Amino acid sequence: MWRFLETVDRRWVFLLVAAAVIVPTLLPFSVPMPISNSTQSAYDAVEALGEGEFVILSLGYGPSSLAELQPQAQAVLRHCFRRGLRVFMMSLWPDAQPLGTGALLEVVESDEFLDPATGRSRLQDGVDFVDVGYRVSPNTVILRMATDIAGFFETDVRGEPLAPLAVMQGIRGFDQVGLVIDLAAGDSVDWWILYGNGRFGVDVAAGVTGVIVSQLFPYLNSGQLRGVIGGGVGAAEYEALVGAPGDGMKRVSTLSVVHGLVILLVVLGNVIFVRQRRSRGEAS
Amino acid sequence: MTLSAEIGIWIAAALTLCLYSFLYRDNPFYKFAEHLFVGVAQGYLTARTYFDGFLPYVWRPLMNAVGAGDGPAEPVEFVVIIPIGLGLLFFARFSKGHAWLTRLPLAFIIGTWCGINIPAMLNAQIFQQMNATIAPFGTMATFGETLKVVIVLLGSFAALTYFFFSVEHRGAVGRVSRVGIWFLMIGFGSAFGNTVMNRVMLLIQRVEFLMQDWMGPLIVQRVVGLFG
Repeated sequence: MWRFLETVDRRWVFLLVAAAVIVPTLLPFSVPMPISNSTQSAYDAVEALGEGEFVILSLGYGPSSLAELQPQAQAVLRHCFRRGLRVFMMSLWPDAQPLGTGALLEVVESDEFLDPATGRSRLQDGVDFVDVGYRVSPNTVILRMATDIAGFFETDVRGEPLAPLAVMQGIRGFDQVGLVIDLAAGDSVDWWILYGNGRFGVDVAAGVTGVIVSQLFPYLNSGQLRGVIGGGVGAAEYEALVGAPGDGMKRVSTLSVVHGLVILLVVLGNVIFVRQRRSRGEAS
Repeated sequence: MTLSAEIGIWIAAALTLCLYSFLYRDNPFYKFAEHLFVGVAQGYLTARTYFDGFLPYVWRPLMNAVGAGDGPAEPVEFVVIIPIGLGLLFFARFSKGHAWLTRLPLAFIIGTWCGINIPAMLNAQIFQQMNATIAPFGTMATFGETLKVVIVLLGSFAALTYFFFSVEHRGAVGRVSRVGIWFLMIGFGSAFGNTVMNRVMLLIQRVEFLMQDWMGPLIVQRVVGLFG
């Protein structure tokens, strides 16, 4: 058997991983969902805001990180709307805008916010939320919007002038912003920490992909970030906190099976490596 | 579902399968999907840059200045002219005699970039991080908090020692830098684990798409029905 394992074609491993994904997808099950401190902090930061406060949801991701960040976006938006917060959505990546608009529409038009009398959503564009779309150069955008948000963006994605909208009333710059939540697959969260928090003192929380979550924990410890939602597991945790199971919670059970397989394969690979090294030592 | 949405799903499914075919071995289907992706991504980025950058910040101000724009004629501002002029200098690269002119916009970009970023980075990534490493010593109340701040301080000191190359890593310095390597390895391990999670999530999302959106709920329902 060891001989077989030492020479096994790596494509068998790919097939095993595929099976570990496909079977739980067909036969879903639930796993316990303990909440990490970092996700709880992000949730608490939103929870601490009063009704009507202004939240900036900044999007810095694209289709390649949709699996992790789209469920985060939906869970965060749902939480904000439940709290009666005003949501200002903006995109710092060119391909983030359609994803953000999709997440926004899905939440706004969900049953939870439906008015039974009219059959339409209670949440109104320009009153409860506004989507201003994409602007080029993330750091320049953050610096320029700091003191005059409506003056910099001028219009929303519909082409409506921003300043007269009800959602913008009483809002000039970062001084009036309750919280910035940056959903990022790249460096946009760095710009928010450097300029939004470092220079203008606005509170920032982040939802990021698993790839970059580790490098953000120092900012969480130092208080430069109010919370960090980390990857797909973070999305599932936030969904559990909000009480609205979505794609995050659905995927985390499959993720557990694949992680179990990966750990098993890593251990097996190391055992094979040690055996090979020993046998080489004995031979020499 | 509309016909266009249906066609979109079929194209996305076919391209997904083309890309995953690389797991078996390199092949023309994979190459096709890869090249198509690069081309589409670049095309999308170029179009967005044109509509979100060139039109609002270059073309419309200039057209309004000469009275040919959508809005009322208004004098062009110097703050618009200067970056346009600097940007145009990049095209000097196409002339051997004038290629040196590209240094001017490059110098401007590097200069402003450093001027804006260096103080901000020093503040956010050095001073505030140093403060966060040392300040908790004054406020730690429980054994857990004490242990945490001590580990953070030791880890920072040991990792920094590893990157301190002015002294040979022997004796006490060598031992501390070895501890630094362990801390770095734990950090890399954490980053690697999270990266695996990220990649697996992408795979799960694609498999969900193939099995639920493309192959349809029919198969899913049949299998679920089989197992109750």
